[in-house]
This record gives sequence, C-alpha cells and structure tokens, in this order.
Amino acid sequence: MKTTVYRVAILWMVTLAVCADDVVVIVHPSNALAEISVSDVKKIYLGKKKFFPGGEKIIVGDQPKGTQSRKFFYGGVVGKTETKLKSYWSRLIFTGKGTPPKVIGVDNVVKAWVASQPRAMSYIMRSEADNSIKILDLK
Amino acid sequence: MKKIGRFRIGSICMLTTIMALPLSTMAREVGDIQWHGYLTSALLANSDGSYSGEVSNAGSTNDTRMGLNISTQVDESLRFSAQIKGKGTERFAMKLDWAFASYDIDEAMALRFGKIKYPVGMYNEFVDVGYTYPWIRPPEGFYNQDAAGPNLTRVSYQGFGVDYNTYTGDTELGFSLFGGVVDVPVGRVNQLTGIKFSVNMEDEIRFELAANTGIMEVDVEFAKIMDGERHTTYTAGIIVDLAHFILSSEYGQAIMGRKIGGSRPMDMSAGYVMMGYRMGEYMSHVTWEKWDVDGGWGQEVIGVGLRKELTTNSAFKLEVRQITPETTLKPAGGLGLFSDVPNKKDITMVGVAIEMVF
Repeated sequence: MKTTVYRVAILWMVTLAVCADDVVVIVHPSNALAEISVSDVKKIYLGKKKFFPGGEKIIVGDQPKGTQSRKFFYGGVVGKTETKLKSYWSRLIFTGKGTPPKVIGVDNVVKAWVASQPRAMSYIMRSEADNSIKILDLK
Repeated sequence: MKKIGRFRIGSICMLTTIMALPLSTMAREVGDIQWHGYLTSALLANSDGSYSGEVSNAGSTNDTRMGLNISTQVDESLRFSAQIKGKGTERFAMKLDWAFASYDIDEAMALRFGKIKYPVGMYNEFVDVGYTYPWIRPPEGFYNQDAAGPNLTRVSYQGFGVDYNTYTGDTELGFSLFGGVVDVPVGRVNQLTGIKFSVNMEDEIRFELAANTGIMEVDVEFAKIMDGERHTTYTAGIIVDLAHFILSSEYGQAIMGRKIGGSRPMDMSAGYVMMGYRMGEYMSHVTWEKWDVDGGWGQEVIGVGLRKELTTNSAFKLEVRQITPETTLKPAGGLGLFSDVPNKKDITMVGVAIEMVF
C-alpha cells in the first residue's frame, strides 16, 4: 500500500515538474530582462517583490482559477495549492499588507495584455507563445 | 451619539449587497480598487457557567462576525487600505477596524501610518478572519483582549509602523518598529513603542519575536491604581506549516503595574501548542493552552478540532474543548474567562462554524 502511495506521489511530482516546463513566464518584448530565477518569480507572485531590476514597478497579471496554465504555474513554479494560496492572500488582504495579482484572463487574453503593457509580467502555456511577447528563461 | 458611524445587521447586509452589485469579477476589482470580505458564522455552547462571549449551555452565536475591506493603489508607492467589521459580541455594530496608508520607500522598506492592526501575535492582525486559522477561537489566554486584565495583544493602534524585509537565500528576515497610542475600552496605552523580528522560510516555517511597552491611562475609577503605570509584553511564536503537518506555538509574558507586597499581581503569562494533520480537504488538530495571572486566576484548556475545506473560499469547523479555570476569583468576579463561578471543575465547550472569505 505504502509503495503505491509513494509511486503516485512521485508520479504527481514528476507530472507537475514536466507541466511546469510547459508554462512560460512572459514580459513585454521591450523589457530588458532575459532570465529570472524561480525564487524571484515566487516572490513576485506572492507580493514580496514588486520591482524589476531597473527599478520599474512590475504589473503582475494572473489567470482565473481552473485554467491549465494557472494549475501548472502555481503547482509547479510557485508551489502552492489553491487553498494555501487563498489562506496566504487572506492574511495579507485583511491586514492591508497586500492584494493578489490582478486576474486578467486566459492565455490569449493574458498574451494580448502583456503585449500592450511594457511593465507587465504573466504566464501562459508555451504552446500559446509568439513574437508579441518575450519568454523569460527560468534559472 | 455613540451610534454615529455604526450600523445594525440590516444595514450590513444592505451595504454588502450594494457593494456586490457592480462587482462581477472574482477579484472584485473596479479600476485599481479592490474589495474583499470575510464572514464567520459560529455556534458555541458549553456545559456550565457563562463563558467569554456569553457562551452558556443555551448556546451562543456571538462569535458570528463579518468584515469588509477596501484597498487602492494611490500611486506606485502609496497604498490606502481600510476595513470595517461587525461582531456578534458587539451586537453587529459596524465599526472601523483599521485604516492606514502604506508608503513603499523602496523594495525592502515600507512605512505605514494611520489606525493599524496590532502587530503582536502570529494571528492577531487577522484574528477576526477565521478562515486563516484552524480554530473557531484562537487560544484565548494568548489572544484574550479582556479590558479588565493584562493583555498580550490588542485590536489596533493609532500611529506608525516601519517594516524592513530582506532575504538570505529564500529565507525572509523582517524587522518592524511601531509606535503610537492604543485605545482600550477603559482608557488608552500611551507612548506605545514596539519592535518585532521575524523569519519566514518559504511560508513553511515562520518565527517571530516581539516586545512592546507603553504607559497606561485609565478612565474608570475601579482601575485608577493602574493609571500612569507601564504595560510591557514579550512574545515569541512559531508556525510550521508543511504539506500535511502543522504546528503552531506561542508564548508571551505581560508585565503590568507596580509591585504590591513584592510582586505584581497583574503580571501574566500565556502560551499554547497546537498540532494538526492535513489529509486532503480535512485537517484534525489538538491544542493545549494555559493562561496564568500572578494574582492567581487563569485557566487551562485542551481542545480537539476538525476543519474541512468546503471550497477554496470556505471551510467548516467542529471543535470540542475542555476548560479548567483556576479557583481564584478575578477582581471583576468569575473564574478564568467565565463571568461567573461554574459548578463543575472542568467545563466542556463545543462549537461549529462556517468560515468564508470573498
């Protein structure tokens, strides 16, 4: 029984890791940034980092609950379940210390939004990416 | 006059409905303004005596409460946030909970000023938002805000706060300095000065140390002996929140007033340990808590509880606690957090609650 549980857990972790590779972090093509650490992405999406290295404020865009991109991004990159995420943001919202990233929409809406916002950052599935946005390498 | 700025429950519901009408998106955003809220609906009953919040064997719904919150980014560095709340213990009179501006000096440092939630205790700043913690009531010895006794925590203060956060690897180190005036039901704590140090290891391990001191100003005759006396507290807390296992523990001491006969009868200490285990949507937990005042009163509590996530925005809680008050009467009468003297040594309290945030 234990072995089965371990196998399922390992399979789930591997699946999330593979899926995390299919989600890309994107910025406006004019953004000088070419790569970003996973740690910084986590901080940005948890409201702990607010500025690009050049000093411009980051406008963070999110996707609604239920999208595949959001599931892979929060599960594989940020490392938080929806319940833990809700609890985390509730602690900040109800003390006035922060609010969650603005929900922009699904992949194609997010892509169009990032393409029109020089200081935007968001995430989409790799298969949706094109030249209108820049993909940041995750290091 | 006291009713100015307060509304009854009907007004609360109307206000909620009016605010909800134009807000169709899940983030409740209108431009750069965000609205959020919370609701706790709770029923508590005990086997004997009249416990804090008027809990008796007839049951009490006084822990039912709600709050509404607004925040807006005024410009890139300046943010304004405010919250109103209504509680069953205050007959749902809607009052300003806190309202302050926050100015980001840079990536690491922020200045806050206004009416700010009291930043002492791991749960105190969001103590009314039951969704954020396992219990129906957080450990009361530590979080009790009984006006007549020494307290480790308060509701809010008027003044300023400076927060500095830095990182060593993925570990966040926080330093906070705060000061101002605390309003309490029987007066004020003036010249409040506090400091807090925190460590946050990717939200899996959080640790805090805090100390603060102030001078009491007492408006009521029966407690005038405390007027002008110093009130100082020291607290430490840790939360370990892993995928399945959760542990939370805090301990604090309050030093209050002058020595009488070689001791300070109003000095107090309180602490608790909670351990929980999450399995999918369920979390079970057990908590031991102790509250001791040097004058001889206090109580010990052991409780077990179950939390079930209903949705990602709501949870159901069930709790059973055994409360054993010390046998020494408080100056205001009653044992422990009871307003009377229960007939039994151990009192059982049961509770159910539904918590939600939106």
